[in-house]
Amino acid sequence: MSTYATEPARTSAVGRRCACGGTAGLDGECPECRAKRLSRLSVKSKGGGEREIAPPTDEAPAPEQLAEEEEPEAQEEAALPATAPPPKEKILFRVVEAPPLAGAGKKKCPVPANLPVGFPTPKKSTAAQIAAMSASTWGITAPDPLRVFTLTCRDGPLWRLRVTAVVSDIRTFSRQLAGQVAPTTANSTAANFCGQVTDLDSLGVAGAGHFYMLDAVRAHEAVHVQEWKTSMGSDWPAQKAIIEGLNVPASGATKTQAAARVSMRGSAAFKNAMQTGTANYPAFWGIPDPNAQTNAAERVVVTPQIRHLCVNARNKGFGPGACPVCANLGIV
Amino acid sequence: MLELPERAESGRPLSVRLVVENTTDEPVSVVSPSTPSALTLVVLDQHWNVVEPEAAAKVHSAREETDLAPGASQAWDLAGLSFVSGTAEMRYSLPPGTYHLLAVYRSGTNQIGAVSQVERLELAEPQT
Repeated sequence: MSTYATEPARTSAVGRRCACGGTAGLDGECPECRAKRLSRLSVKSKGGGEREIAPPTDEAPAPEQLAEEEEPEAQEEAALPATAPPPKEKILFRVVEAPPLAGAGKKKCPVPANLPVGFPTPKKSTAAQIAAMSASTWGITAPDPLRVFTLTCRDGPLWRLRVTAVVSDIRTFSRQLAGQVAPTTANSTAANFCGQVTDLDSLGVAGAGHFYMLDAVRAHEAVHVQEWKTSMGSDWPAQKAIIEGLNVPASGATKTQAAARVSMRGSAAFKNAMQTGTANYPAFWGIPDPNAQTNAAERVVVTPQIRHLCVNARNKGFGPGACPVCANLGIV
Repeated sequence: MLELPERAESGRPLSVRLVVENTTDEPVSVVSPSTPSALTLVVLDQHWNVVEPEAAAKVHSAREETDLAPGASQAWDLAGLSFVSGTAEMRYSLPPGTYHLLAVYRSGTNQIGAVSQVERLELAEPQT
């Protein structure tokens, strides 16, 4: 039998309700009511206005891959005034910093933090990139300039930037060459089956007018996408350090946070750090193309089809044994 | 041989033609310059310093071969000052100024290659 006049609504594992009807924590109130109670106890500065606190981030929107809002820059806790009446609720004691004296230095910038790079789903290459492809080019893959989100913060007499997020968009496009079709059992004949499997086995090196598989081209480009993601891990920290090494004086033309942000993000050093070319990412651009990994990725796609075509040739009496590719597979 | 326009504007599309001639007595097989490692364009600035190209994209290109009879030639129009190395498509973005260009062409994977003559290129300010 319950000891309560009415059974408390159970909206969580704890099952308690705040006075406002929301879900209460261990102290009996919900987060919103707790925040309102603490804000009523905030202290005004000697100047009579609220202390200027830099906003948590000056870049929006947050990148798509962030699962939750960025944590705001730590704000100084409000100290309980000596004359405030004691709250009737249970008191949670917390250590707070005393508010700085007027004219004292601002809060330091946060220590640079290691951040994961956001890689959205690869995008299709631009129309200009596709138009620039030669007639014998199957696929292209290239990273866009980085999207770097920053926080502008004070470090003594200087403004600095802190990277809060970085997103790398990669563009890729795959196609078959003019006159090229995928070899299938439907278009395989006694006259062309050997050419089909030979084209596949050579990874399409024969070029336009022959047989090759679009999925094999896509597999090749997918390797480059992964190569970029991997190489960014080694080369991005240097660019991040450049960005976070930028600074402007918190005086004169860059006295305000907004002016400082414009100055630093508009600098040549910042713009260069966002570029994804050879100078900043030598590891990626130095990877041979094609290479063992791209070839292996294509073979995963073409090898089953080679077998399929050779078996089809055998079943239809095309004589696969006379075709070196089929013979090497033991399909005669 | 490299064929360049007499005058061009910086930042505008540039017409470059590569002409390969079979000067031997035997037929030879030549490859398209878009084949990886077949063509390298070398650009020198007005001080004869080597200008470094920028990587533009990873490109996956087929090897296209053409047979040239003795004395025959084959021409290809290039997409500006770009070429495909063994690792990427490389491009030059040149500001206005005076440059000298030469091409290193390899028709086979095991060949060192042939070098073109040096050609002068004047890039003017773009006309608005």
